[in-house]
Amino acid sequence: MTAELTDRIGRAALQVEVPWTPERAALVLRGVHGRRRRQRRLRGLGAAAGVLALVLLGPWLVVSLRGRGAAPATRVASVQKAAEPQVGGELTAAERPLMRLRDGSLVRPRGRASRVRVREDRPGRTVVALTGAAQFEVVHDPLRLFRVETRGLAVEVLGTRFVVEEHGAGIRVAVHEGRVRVLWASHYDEVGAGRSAVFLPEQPAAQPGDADPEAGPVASAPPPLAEPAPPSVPPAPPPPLMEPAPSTPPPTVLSGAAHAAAAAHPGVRRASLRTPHTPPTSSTAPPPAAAAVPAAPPPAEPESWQALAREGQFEQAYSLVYGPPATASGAHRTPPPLLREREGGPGELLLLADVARLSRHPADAVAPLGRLLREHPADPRAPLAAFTLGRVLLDELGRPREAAQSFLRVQELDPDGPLSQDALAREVEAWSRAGEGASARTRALHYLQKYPAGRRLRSVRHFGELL
Amino acid sequence: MAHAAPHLRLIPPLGPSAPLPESPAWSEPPGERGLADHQRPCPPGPLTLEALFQQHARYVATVVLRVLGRDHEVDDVVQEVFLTAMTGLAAVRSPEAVRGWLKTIAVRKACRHLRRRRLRGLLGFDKESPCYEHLAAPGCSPEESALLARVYKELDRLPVAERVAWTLRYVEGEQVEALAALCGCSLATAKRRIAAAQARLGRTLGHDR
Repeated sequence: MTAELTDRIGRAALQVEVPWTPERAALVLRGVHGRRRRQRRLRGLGAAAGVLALVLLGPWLVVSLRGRGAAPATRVASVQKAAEPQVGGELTAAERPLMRLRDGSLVRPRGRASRVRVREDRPGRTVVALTGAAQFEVVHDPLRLFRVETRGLAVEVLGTRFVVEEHGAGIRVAVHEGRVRVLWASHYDEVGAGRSAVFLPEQPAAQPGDADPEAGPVASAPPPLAEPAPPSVPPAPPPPLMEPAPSTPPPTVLSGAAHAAAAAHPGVRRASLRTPHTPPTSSTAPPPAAAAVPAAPPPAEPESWQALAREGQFEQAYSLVYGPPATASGAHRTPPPLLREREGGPGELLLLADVARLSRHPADAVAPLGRLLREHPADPRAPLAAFTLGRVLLDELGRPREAAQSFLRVQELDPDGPLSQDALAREVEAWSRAGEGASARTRALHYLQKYPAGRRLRSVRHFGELL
Repeated sequence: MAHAAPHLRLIPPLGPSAPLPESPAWSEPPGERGLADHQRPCPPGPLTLEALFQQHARYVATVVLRVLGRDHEVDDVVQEVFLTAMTGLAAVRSPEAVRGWLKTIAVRKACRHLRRRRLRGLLGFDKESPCYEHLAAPGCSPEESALLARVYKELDRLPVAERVAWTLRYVEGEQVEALAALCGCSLATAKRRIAAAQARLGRTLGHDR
C-alpha cells in the first residue's frame, strides 16, 4: 500500500462521524443505568445466595473442620503432658467422671470402683488399662492405635464409641458407633456398631444377645473367628464342691464355647480349658442329693505358665517360661523348653507368643510365631499367627520390611480369609514405613482393586500415597 | 533475494529508522478529528456517571465507530464502556487522564465486540451484509465514501488484533507507542500487526486501484 493511498484513507476517515444526537445520548445513558441496576441486582442475589449457603453449610463445615483438626498425625494419641495427673494415675469415677484426651477422645469411667490408667507407650499408640467399666468415644484416626486392656482382654479401636465393662465372670464390649477389635489369648474378633458381646476372661467367647439398655436395640455379636461359638451357651456346670469326690484328678471343665471350639479345632483345646477355681454362688445349685456327698477340694495343681497366662498374669507366666532375669536389666535369654524341644502345638505356641507380647517382651514373641508358621502352615491359626507376627514386627519392634513379608504371608495362607483385608492394608503401611514407596503404592492399588469399599481405604490411600 | 524467493514481498520497514508511512498531520488530538468546536469535550467536572457521559460519550462513540465500522453496534459498546468506567472511577486522580483511560476501555471493548462478531459469523448467526457506504458523513465525496467502504470491507477479513492496530494507526491517527498501550501489547507486536495488516490491505486495495 502506498503512502498516497494511506493518506487518502486518513483523510476519508476524518469524515467518519457518529450522528450523536441528544436523544441518542439519553437513550444510551438510560441503557447504562439499566445495566447498572441489573448488575447490582445480580450482585445482591449472589451475595444473598452466598450468605444462605454459609448459613446452611456453616455448621456442617465447622464440625467437619473441627473433626479434621482434632486429630492431626503429629498429635494423635498423645496425652496432654500438662494434664498428666488428670489422665495418668488412678482415678475413680467420682473423682474424674469424664477424661478428655488431647486428641479429643473421651473416656468416661462408670461406677465408683472403676479405674482407668491412660498411657502412651510410644507415639501413635495410646493404651488404656481398665478395671471396672468405662465408656469410650474415640476420635477416628487410621494412624493411631487406641487400645483398652482389661483382664487379659484387649480392645483395639478403629474409631468409635463403645463401652467395656465387667459382666459377671466375663467382660462385655458394647459398641454404639464404629467398630472395635477384641483380642484375647491367641484370638481376635471384631464387634460392629449396635452390637455387644461378652467375652469370658479365661475362655473368651462371644455370647449372643446381651442387649445394652442404653444402646437401644443391640444385636448379638458374631462368634469369634478362631473359635466359632454355638448359637446359645449352655448354663455353667455345677460347682465342683457339689460333685462327688473324684478318685482321679479333678476334671477340667469346658465352657460351652470351648466345647464347640475343642470339637472344631482340637488344637485349641488347651487354650480353651477352664478350671473352675472359684465356686460360683449362683442359683443353678445342684440337687440336694449331690449336696449330701462330702466335698473334697481339688488337689493343688502346680501353677503352669499356661494357667497364669489364661488368668492374665502374663508377667508371671513369662518368668515361669523363661526363668528369672539373667541380667540386671531384666532380660531373659534362656529359650523356653517349648522352643528348644519340638513340643507344643500351635495353640501353645500362640499362647507363648501372647505371654511374651503382653508381658512387654515383644521380641520373644517372634520365635514361637515363626516356629508355628514353619511347622504348622496348614493349621487354621497360621494366618492369625502370621498377622500377629506382622503386628509385632511393625508396631513393637520397628521392623517394617519383615512385617510386610508377614502380612503378605497372611494373604498367601488364607487369601479370602477374615484377616486378608486387614493384612493387605497393614502390608501397605509396612512398606510405606520401610521407605518402599513403590511397593506400598502397588499393594495399595491392589487393595483398591480387591476391596473398592474396604474399611481400611483411608489408611491405604494415605500410606500408598494415593491421595 | 527477491529472485530466490519470489513469494516474499518487500514490506516497508518499520521502526524509528524507517518510520511507517506518515498519517496525515493532524492538528487535533487523536479521536477528536473532525469535531466542531461546540462538540469539543467540556472542561472536567465532578466525576459522576452523568458528567462523565456528557463530557466523553461522543468521543467514545466516535472511537468505537472508527474501530467497528458499524453504527448500530456503537450504542451497546458505549454502554459497556461507561459501565466499566463507573467501577474504576474512584481510582482516577487526574481528570485530564480520564479521556485516555476511556479510550483504552473503548478500544478493548471494541476488540471484544469484534471477536464476538467474528464468532457469530463462524457459527452462522451473523448473516447481516454490512453496508459501509453510509459510514462517512453526508458531506463526504462519493470517492471517499467508496474508499472507506472498501477499506472496512477488507478490514472485516483481517484478524481482530491486526485490524484494530491498523485502524488505530491510520484511521484514528495514533502514534505506535500510544497504540501499543491501547492494545495492551508491546511496541514490536504493534508494529508487526500494523505491517501485517498493511501488507494484506495493500494486496487487495493496491490491485483494485
